[in-house]
Amino acid sequence: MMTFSFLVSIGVFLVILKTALLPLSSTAVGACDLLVPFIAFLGLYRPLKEGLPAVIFLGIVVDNLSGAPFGLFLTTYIWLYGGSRLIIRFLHAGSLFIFITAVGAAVFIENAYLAVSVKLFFGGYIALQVGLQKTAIETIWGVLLAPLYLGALQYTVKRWGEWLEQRQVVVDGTDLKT
Amino acid sequence: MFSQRVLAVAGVVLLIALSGIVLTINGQRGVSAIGSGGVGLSLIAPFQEGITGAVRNAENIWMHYFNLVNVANNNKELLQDLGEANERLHKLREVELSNERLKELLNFKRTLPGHLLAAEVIGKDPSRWFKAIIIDKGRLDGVVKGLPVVVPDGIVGQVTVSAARYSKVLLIMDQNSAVDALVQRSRARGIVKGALSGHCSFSYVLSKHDVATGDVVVSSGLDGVFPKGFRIGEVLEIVKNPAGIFQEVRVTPFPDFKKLEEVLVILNPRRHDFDK
Repeated sequence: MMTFSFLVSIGVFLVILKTALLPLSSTAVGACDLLVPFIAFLGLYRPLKEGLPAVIFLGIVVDNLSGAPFGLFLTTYIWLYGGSRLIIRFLHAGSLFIFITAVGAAVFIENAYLAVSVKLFFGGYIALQVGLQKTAIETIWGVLLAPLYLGALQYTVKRWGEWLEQRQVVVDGTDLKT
Repeated sequence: MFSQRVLAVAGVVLLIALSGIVLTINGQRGVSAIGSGGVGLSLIAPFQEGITGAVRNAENIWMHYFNLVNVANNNKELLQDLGEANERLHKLREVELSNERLKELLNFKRTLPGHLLAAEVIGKDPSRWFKAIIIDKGRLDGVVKGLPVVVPDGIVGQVTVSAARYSKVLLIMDQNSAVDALVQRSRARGIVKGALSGHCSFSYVLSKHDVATGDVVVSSGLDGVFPKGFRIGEVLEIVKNPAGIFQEVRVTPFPDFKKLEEVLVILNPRRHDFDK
């Protein structure tokens, strides 16, 4: 439960960053959905029982904030998470190259999924050129952010694990024996 | 021959007389009777100069040190003051800009019928595929789903979700948004729909109707959401299909959605008569 809260806190922080801070910057306004690399990280590096509840929770949060029909981001994130889980069945997840590729692919797939959903299910009009341009820019953002994400997330999650272990030791009274 | 006492008295008298003579002569000439005094001066002055210089240097160093310390302290204080002044100036500029925007909103508010609520934009849509904003007013402030949101430039959107203290507003730029509209000049009717390109599409305008580039598009009030006569945008481009019954019109919205900071929610919009 604590790890779930911790992962959700990171995700909520990324959502706030994307919705409240990045729009203030003219450069970063075109950045990709910051949750996508995080979801790829959860799929590749964290166990199912930790990752999936966090993904579902964050999907609902983003659906609440977005103008998209409810459930669109939730399903998108679940698909991306499932895809990331599938990758580690065939490839070694520890590689930075795999993570960068996975993030790039995830951002691309998210944009494609949203575009197709908007077009097919909600009858929206999307100019092909605009759609492709958005997708390309966001994919580049994703690829550039991926190494930064991996480093920061691995470090944070590792420190969290160490803190939890220490706390467990204190709770169990193991340290009193030593 | 003379006693010592007599010699001493004579010596004193002589000395007094000599002193008197020398002083009298010097007093009259204005210069020394015994040379110019240059030798003594030459002997003493360098030492005097050295000592005086050394003392003055020491004094200067000492004073400068203290001065430097004082200057450094003053500098630090001045820098701090400058920083604070800059910060105040920055805040004042922000207040000034905010004041201008709010004045504009207030003036606009006075021109509108009904009760208006000013709200601040606190967040934007997480995805670039959809266009929504989050405002800092909710059900507790009287904001409910379906209320129109405007700025002095024109229509912004419609409240789609209302929480206790916050609301989500779907912008007219969003693909899921639609506003019943008409061309102000020719009264040609259609539906303004959002598009990803940054412009809106003015659909279902009959080909026979007169629409020209630069025409102003306003809300018709027939959708039951937006009051009649609110500005939406300006006609940018017209694509006429000779075979079709409708013409495709692209509209540039008047509000700059990238720079939205404050908006007005119309709490009791005047509906069209047939609503009643």
